[in-house]
Amino acid sequence: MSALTRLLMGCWLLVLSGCVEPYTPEAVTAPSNYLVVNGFINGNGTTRIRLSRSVQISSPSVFPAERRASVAIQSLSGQRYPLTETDTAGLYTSKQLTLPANQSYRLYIRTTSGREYASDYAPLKLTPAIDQLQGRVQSNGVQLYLSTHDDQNLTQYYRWEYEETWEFTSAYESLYRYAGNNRMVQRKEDIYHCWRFIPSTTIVTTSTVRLAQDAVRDYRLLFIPLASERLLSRYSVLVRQYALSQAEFDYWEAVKKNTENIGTLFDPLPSQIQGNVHSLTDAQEPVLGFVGAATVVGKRIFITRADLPRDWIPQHEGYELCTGLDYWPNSIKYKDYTMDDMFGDSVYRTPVARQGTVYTMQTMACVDCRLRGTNHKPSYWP
Amino acid sequence: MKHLFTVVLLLLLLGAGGPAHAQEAAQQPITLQVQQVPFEEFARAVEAQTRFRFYFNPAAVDSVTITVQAEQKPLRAVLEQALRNTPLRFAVDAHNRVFVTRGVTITPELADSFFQPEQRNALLPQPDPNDQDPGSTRIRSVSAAASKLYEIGTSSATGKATLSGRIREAKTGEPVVGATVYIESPSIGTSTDQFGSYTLTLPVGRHDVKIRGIGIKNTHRLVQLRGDGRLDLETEDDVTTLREVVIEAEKDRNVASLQMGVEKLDIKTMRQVPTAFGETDILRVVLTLPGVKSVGEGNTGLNVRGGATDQNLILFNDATIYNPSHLFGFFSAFNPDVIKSVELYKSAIPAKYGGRLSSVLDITTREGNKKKLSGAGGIGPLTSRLTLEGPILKDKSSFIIGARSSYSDWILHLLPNESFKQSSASFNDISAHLSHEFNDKNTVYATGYLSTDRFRLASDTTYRYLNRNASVKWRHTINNKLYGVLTGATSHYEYDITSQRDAATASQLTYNIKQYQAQLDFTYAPNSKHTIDFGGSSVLYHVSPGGLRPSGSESLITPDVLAREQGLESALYFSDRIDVSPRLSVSVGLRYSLYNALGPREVYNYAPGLAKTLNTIVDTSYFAAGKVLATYHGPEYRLSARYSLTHNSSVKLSFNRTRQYIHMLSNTTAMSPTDIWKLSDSNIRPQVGDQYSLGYYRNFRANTIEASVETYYKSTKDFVDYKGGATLILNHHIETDIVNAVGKAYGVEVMLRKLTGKINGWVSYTYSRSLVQVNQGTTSEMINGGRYYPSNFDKPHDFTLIGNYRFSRRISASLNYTYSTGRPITLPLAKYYISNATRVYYSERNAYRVPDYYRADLALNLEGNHKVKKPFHSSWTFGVYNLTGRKNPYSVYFKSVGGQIRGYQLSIFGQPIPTITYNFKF
Repeated sequence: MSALTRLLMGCWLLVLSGCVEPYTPEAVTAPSNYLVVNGFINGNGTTRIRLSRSVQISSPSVFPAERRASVAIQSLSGQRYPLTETDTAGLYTSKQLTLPANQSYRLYIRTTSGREYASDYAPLKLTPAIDQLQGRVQSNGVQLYLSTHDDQNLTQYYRWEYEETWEFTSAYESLYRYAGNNRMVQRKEDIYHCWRFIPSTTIVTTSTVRLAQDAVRDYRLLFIPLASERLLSRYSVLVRQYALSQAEFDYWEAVKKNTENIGTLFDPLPSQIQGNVHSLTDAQEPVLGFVGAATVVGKRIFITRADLPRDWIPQHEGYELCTGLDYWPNSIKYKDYTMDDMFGDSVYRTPVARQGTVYTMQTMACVDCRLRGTNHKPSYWP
Repeated sequence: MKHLFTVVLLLLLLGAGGPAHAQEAAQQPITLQVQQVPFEEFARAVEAQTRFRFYFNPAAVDSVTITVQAEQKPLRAVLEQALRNTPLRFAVDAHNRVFVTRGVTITPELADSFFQPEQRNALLPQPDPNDQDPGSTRIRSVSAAASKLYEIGTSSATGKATLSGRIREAKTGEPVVGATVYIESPSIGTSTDQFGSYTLTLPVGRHDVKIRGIGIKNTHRLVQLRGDGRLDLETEDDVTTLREVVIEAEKDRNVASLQMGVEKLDIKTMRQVPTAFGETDILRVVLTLPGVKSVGEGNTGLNVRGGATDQNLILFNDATIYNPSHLFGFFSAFNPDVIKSVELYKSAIPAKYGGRLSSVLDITTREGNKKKLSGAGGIGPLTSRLTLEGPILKDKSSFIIGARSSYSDWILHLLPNESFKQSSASFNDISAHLSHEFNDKNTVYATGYLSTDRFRLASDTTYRYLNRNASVKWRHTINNKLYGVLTGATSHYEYDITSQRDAATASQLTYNIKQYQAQLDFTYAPNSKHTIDFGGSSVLYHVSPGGLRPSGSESLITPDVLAREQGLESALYFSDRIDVSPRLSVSVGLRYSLYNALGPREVYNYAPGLAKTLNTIVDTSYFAAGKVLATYHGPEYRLSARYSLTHNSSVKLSFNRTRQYIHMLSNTTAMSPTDIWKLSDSNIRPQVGDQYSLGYYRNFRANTIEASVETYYKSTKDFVDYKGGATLILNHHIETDIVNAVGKAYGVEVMLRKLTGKINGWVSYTYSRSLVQVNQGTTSEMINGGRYYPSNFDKPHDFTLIGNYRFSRRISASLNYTYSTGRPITLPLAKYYISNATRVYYSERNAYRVPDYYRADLALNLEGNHKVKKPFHSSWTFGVYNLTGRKNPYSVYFKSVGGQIRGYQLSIFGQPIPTITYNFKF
């Protein structure tokens, strides 16, 4: 390589590799410790408020709970409904309450460090009932539709949260359990049938302001593709509907866009979101979250396999690698293994079935459905 | 013919002579040492020592300086030495008379064969080969022409007459743009336009018409004006740039010209500024001017006086350029060898131009050499370029074609590093310009331009973009007072981003915009007090705002293509420049523009009175092809005035209104920004901007130093900014993510410039703010609580120094220093968990700033000798870009890596970069 070529290359290296360095301005590296208030004032039930702290953006996503705070719902007329911290750190709940309508409420927080926070007073919004929640079969899956309306045209802004539950099985049903000391016993606990529970992570809102009537017709709440594990045997979804004020609606619209995905071409541009919780101690201190006040209505529906077309083949999710069974003792692969060698660590090998003296086996992940759900049947399950 | 005339004239003038003691006198030795003295002084010095008497036409020796060192030398030797590098020739007769002429050598004695007509040419030992057209008034022999008396017009009318014509460079036949043509008593003057044409209305009678300009030798013509007529002339290239020329021209520009907020740079000035890769980069030079900023390193997007980068109309021979840069802005997309000049209008934008709010950057190419084939080129570390030019029909038509290419791919593939082998980065551009002169009244110009870029780093994403432009211009002189130019132009810009990470998600994102334009401009100069420009233009836009398509048969990407947009922008304008008195000039102009957004298109209608969101879409209207879906129109006022306080200082003011119907949306938070040009439609209103500016100009030290202070205040309505959380790419309802913001910008620009002498250059300081306010809709739609916030390109302090030091005519060094405040940025401050997901908490918009920017560059130019007749001229440029190695951020971005969000700063030229470039000309 001539000197010239080397020079040329050097130039290009400089241009192309550039110089990527961590960019850590003080504003970003400063320890972030803003109070985050998650929850709403429930007009007809238990109010659940989760208090946590924000973290610096480069930290792992572990959010410290704000413990031992004094939290209460306050009405404009001076009523006070205290919340107490539960066993879950940072989660505060009230008693079962029925708050008087036509009244404004706020959430008051006083932390152990003596700082006081409060949300803006918000009039209690009365949420109309869900008229219909229905799954309809389409060519590629099930679409859940929701309809609701408010004859008095007072709601206008809606938000939904949903919890999905479905029954599933692991890849193989383990009938035996290794009890140590070369003893194989029949498995009592069912680790084959489980229920999986997933709360919604997306924010679902809509508004009817542009409509002549305050009515939501066939809102496409959720779509389940035909191959989804949710449709394996029985699926259930509980939808909770909240009425929102316009400010709260705008807040959630904005939050929707501020995900942690940043920096690539298709990601939304940043925006600062102001909630309605403020520090009473220091007006400049940012507080994150929006506390609205509304009653809640819920509706649960079930979809069973029998309701769906026969040619749909839902896939076991998470069990894609569970193909085939090994066997012992008469396989060359495990020639000199004792039973203890084989099943001592059930993570690698868990017995599945027995044919004479031969055991078939799979990994724990393929047989224990508890790793992906719970084997306690939910109370609402038929 | 003319030579004979000159000789005869000289002989007549010099009728008297001294006694004949030639032999005796010729022996007289001369001892003389003079340095750069005017010829007349030299002649007097010789006359003082000897009996020789000099005879010459003072006009012919004007501006010639003599350097000679003689120790007891005979006259002939002294004269040969003295006149070696001048156009002057001498002849000595038997009567000790020294005849000094310009260009031709005379023979003081009649030739023996004088009375034999067929050998008459022997009288002129060096006949000018160009002298083929002795009958025309076009003057071939430049030097001799100055002393001739031209009779213009036939009628012997009294009163005033119009003199017009074209000025061209004698060597190349190129028009001389911006030269001043004037007479001194009474003081009447004008300057040549882009075609080198001028029109002067003068009183009938005898005048000494003077011509001055940058890069040409000052000259003059004696004119006996009897009636309307033409005077075309050719000037000599100013090979050894004379001080006086530059000063006069700059004096005109800074203090005396009516225009304010105009920066004109010719290619000679631009060549002196050091650049990253040794190649003259016109946009980078423009960036050093006061009031012009860029968002960051390696970014040629210009922010002129607090305006957005989309608010500049960049014209390349009248065709709009949408992306004037290569390699994401590291190079400007124009080949310096074909560029003649660059003009930037910052405040008083002529009524002729419209469609952008902030500025007009008018780039004009040179015309090809009409006399002979020649070329130029350069070899640099990353790119090479070659330009060829020459006549097609001698003196009638010429071409110039320039091409530039990078050989980066080749180098990258030589590298041992695997990831570099997979990278590629290349660009090319070609510009071609043809001109043909049918006759004195009709000339046609055609320009074509193509630039392409392809860029892929070790990653799997390929970026590609392309500019394709063409323009045709027909200039027709109707009469001496009126001429018109008909222009047709097309512009095309497109980009695509191809992602090949894995076969299933391989996709291509595309964007393109096409523009077709027709324009008719007239200039009418009824008398010496008025110059009237009027005309009209129409631009048709076609935009394909984006499409994502699967790439490859295995891709599972579903195509997503946004509907095309069309628009028609038309305008009529009229402006009059009135010279009220020698001290006061006023220019008034009005442009009326009309914009129609056209179908076929589906348009969402939003509930009136509510913010535009997906939730407020009421219905959708469909407009068939050619149907107008929205119309906007309005006047644009252009006013400017100049009042001379003294002969070397003046005050200028201007008011400008501009309207813009096309907007750029730029996602600046990503590492590689992509820009989308969006037309106004029923949901997006045009931007309207007003600018008031006031300036004071003063020249010092016999016009060698010029100073200016300009202040401005600018307000912008319906400036496009995005809402928080906006998605700009592939957005089917972009209006829901856009806000019509109010902008204001103000600033003061101070500049001190010295363009002559061994040390030259300029220093400028700008203090400016550019602020935006979004104070409409609901609280959540307001940005920063409805307060004014800094725009993306608000950089209050900006300091630039461009300095050149000329060691000799062949060696010069230049230093370039810039400092500016870092641009504003919105920072992610924290992350938090709400509603079952992790969210990011951002600061207020643009509440923070990236680190300040500063950079120093150094360059050394070594040129070969300056012999005019040398066939091949070459020069070397050695430079160091970013001398201090400061890591200025090119891009600051945040990325989510394994659940942690990290900030990165990408600096491109983070170390001193040495370069060598070899340039040549033939």
